[in-house]
Amino acid sequence: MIATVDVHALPPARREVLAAERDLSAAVSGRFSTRSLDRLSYARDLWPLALVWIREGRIPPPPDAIVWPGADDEVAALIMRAREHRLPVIPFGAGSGVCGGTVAVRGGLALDLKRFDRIGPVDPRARTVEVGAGVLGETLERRLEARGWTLGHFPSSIATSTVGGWLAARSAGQCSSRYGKIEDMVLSVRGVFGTGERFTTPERPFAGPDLAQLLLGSEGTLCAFTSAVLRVHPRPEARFLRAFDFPSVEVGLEAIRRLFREGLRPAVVRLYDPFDTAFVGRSNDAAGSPTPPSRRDALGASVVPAFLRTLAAQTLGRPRLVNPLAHLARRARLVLMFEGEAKACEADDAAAAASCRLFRGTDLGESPARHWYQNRYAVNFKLPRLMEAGTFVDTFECSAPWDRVLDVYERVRAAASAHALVLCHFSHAYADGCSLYFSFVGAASDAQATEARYQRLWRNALGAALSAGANVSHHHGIGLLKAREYQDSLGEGRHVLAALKRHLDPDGIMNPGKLGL
Amino acid sequence: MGRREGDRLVAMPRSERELAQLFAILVGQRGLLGRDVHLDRARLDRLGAVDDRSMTIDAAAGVPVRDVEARANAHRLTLGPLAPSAWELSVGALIEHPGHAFRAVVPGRLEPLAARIVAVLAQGHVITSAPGPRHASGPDLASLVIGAGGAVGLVTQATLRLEPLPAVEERRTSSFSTHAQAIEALREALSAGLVPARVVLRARAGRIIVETTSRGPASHVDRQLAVLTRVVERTQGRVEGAGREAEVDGTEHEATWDDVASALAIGASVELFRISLSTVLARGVRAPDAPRSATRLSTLLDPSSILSGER
Repeated sequence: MIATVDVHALPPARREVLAAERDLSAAVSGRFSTRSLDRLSYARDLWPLALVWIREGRIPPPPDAIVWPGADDEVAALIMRAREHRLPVIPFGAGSGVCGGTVAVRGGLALDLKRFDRIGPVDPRARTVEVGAGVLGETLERRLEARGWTLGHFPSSIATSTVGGWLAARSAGQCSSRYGKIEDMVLSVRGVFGTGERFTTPERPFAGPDLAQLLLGSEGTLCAFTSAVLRVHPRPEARFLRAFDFPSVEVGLEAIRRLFREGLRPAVVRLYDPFDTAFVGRSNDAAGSPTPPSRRDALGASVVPAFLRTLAAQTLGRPRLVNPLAHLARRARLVLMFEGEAKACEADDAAAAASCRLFRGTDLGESPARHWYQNRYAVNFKLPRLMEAGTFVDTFECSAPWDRVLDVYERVRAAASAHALVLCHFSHAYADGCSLYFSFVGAASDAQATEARYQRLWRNALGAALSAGANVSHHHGIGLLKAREYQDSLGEGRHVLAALKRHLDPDGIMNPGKLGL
Repeated sequence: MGRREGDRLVAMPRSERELAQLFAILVGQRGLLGRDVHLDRARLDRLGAVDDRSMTIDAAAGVPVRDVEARANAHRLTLGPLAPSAWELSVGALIEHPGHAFRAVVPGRLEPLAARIVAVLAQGHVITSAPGPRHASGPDLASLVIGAGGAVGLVTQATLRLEPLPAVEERRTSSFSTHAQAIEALREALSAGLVPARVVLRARAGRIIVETTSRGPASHVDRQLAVLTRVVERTQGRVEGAGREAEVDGTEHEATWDDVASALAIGASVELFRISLSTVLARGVRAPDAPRSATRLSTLLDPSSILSGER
């Protein structure tokens, strides 16, 4: 089913890059590569469409070379030389983006920032830490934890994403309802503009626009981040987990809204719609599966993929038949987690439980929530199996004010249901709204039909979300995937963004094509 | 769209388009807002309905903050424990103010009071921020005006975040041996989830007295004060009781915790509002020297400097 990618089929590196090799290599102390295997490795991130291409043996547009600078001066020198040679520069973290944000549409240089791996000392008085852009999330959190602190940022990609990637795409972690998104944790960022000029944004108080907030989310189109000063908190003394089942999504959402109105701030809030609840429930049951581990491996390696391949074509190719089954189930499962001081958590957990019961929530106790917590990063590693089965799997996250959330849910479901199986959960809750996280699983008869279906799905889903009052992204970003709808949503703001681009990247070399720039 | 007041020409735009036209005239005539023409946003006066579900209200830039509060109060909602001088502002001035434009939330973070804004930039572009409580939709163009002091553009409309009208307001007094201990205890309490409406710190009988006011739903206030009590006890402080009404004279401005420590070190009393781990709005603290600014953005987005007279 999976075609082999032939590394020799890689288009050769452009002549202008090869001609400038000595100059470019010198800027980064020789850490420069045009090797085919390197170029192939940096040709994709985790954008599902690119993974579909690779499954079919097609290689996404690769960079012409990869560079590994180790200091701000090297990034600045590299960008200056890239300007002279008119070569695109694509900042690269760990490649876990899902919107095509690092695809080298015009070739150029992949600027891998993983050598910016310094984690500074925690300033216990200011409660801050300076962290290099190339530090992996899991490494950062483990180091902080060992010193008695936490950043509170736990994206499901934590093992495969970097601080620089978080900054570039305005990342959110699973505990965002307490600690906020990455933009709420940043005191200052450092980096290099597309002009080659180095910058450090000021910490509060300052006068004028907040430059850090303007650069966060720019996805490498204006600058490359090299480090950030981040807020840290004492490592939580306790975690209280609890799950509830509600009679419907609507009632569950109302219960969450009330929790926030009462001043409660759970770290984790996740409400699963009926389809998603069915999957959550199934994975809970699997915890007590009688199948011995040795047999499970065999099932996973051969039987399950073969079964899925057959099933996918029969079911996911006909989503109009499958999606209405969601109406057969109505219950929606809520997972709550409080963390912090033990006594405060206990009080908050009790208050939340009392509030949920007022909304006919069935208290399922700790177990289902604990199961979610123990498997909270597993989702990333389940997707490849579905992809291998010949389907496409993708996720769409947006956010909306509370008065629009249900409408966004219903309209996006309706718009996407013709093209894929649609699941949704609601997370990252705030006092004034929340994020909706849709999962799409689809299939079609061949590669061409799959891509066409994928594109129709996205265009319809994004259009529905925007018309219902949501934004185009809560935490995955824009990349190539959502560029068109993002630009449309900006209105006259697109002229302002274009002016910023011209000013900070006058030669248009920084990550071309992303954000529609 | 304007009037003459003696020698002063006062522009009173009624829409984004009129404000953009004014900016275009100033650019064409090499004029300055605040010097050649004064701006009065009073005609941007639409006050929308309260969205009770999202706890927000739409208000145009010229609406007095007190009018917004009155309408919110009718729905048992409030703009929150704003610092005293914020109540004298219009919505536009509130959103553009470097200190008042934000509110403190758990745990010791800041978030903009405006969930969404419409603004006109100096070059005449109308920007509308992305909907939703948070986004990952590219650079945050709203940050060009939120808290930016009108450096590159002016707000015309905002969707303001509200919170439940507090059922209870309670004060707790604690004391510490040193001001450093008092400040550290406050920071730890913020990290632990305390969001005080107001804090007064003053020296008395060789100790630093900390009076903390908490407000909100009754159960929320109980939980907040319980957090405070535990933090005070584990940071070698003493819980002194319910406390008394105390105020510090002066105008509040944005200050760091080091600024607060410096004021306490010379024996000053300090009153804090909008209390976050990074900065606070403080009375009794020396006004900072001219803060650092992102001047290159002003040059880019207001190349004719038409807004420089407003800053």
